Amino acid sequence: MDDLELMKSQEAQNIAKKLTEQYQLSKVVEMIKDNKIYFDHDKIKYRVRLLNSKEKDEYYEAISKKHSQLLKDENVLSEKMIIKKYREKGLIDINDLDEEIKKINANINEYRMKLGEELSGNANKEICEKYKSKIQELFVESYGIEIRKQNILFTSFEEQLRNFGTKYLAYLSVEKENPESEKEEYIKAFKTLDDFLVQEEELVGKIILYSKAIQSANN
Amino acid sequence: MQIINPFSCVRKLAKQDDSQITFSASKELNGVKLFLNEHDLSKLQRIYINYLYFYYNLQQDIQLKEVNKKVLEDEIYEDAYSYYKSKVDKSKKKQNTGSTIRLTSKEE
Repeated sequence: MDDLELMKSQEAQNIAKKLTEQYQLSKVVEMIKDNKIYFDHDKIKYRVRLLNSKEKDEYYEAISKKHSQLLKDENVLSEKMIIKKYREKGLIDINDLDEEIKKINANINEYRMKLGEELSGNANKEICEKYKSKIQELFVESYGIEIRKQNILFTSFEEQLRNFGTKYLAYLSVEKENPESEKEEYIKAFKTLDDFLVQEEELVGKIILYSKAIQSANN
Repeated sequence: MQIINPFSCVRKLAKQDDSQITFSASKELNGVKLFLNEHDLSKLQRIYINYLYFYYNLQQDIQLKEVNKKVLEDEIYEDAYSYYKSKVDKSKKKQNTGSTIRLTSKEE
């Protein structure tokens, strides 16, 4: 590939990137204009919305039931118990991983201070880029440790309960357009949690992500 | 079809000139609203508002020449400056409070 071709190819890539970004932003504009998110999947219109009071009660009831069920299961260990077992067997000490993450975060903040100060003053490009690269390296390092930690704790009592809560919330939040109604009307999309979870992975993932974008601890 | 992650896009949206203009107008004019719903904000709407304020404050600092406009070239720059500023402001506030206490004790 000669220089001209390379330039053209890079330009085409930049244009494609900008178009994708513009498309994504226009979609996000749609998502934030109201407290509901509408989307299509396999020619069916769905919407994800905030839970009403009755649904919130159902959500807490389901969580409480799952909580009791997990407590009875002797194979399910709490995070603390898993950490203890790993330490006793001479495997990874998760508390050490936490300490490492703390140190890295403190290091990130030190570089943030330096970078912020530089930006408030001369804003020398080389210096700013040097600090930025350091911060990026530290982020990658910290992320790697977080993943190691998550891989060890993913079967824990707390993680299983969190995971169930996320899925249940998504299942309760989603509705689909009623095909039999002449006016715009939305009805429950899935009869049960299991009905929801056996859907295509892409659809389930989308609903979970949008439900997380809508619900917060306060609503 | 790729799933759009709204969390990573909402920041870019808040940074756009159009969003900042609407935000400023919504603070000054009663008729200009950011969202269709007036209450029960979604989590994404709350995050969006936080970023609107974040970029509004950043623009103010650029205008006041407290920071170079290069700060807007990278999100890591933006976060670093924001962190630095919060620490500097906190330390200034602490110093001011300290001097007030000393002043009071001198008067006594």
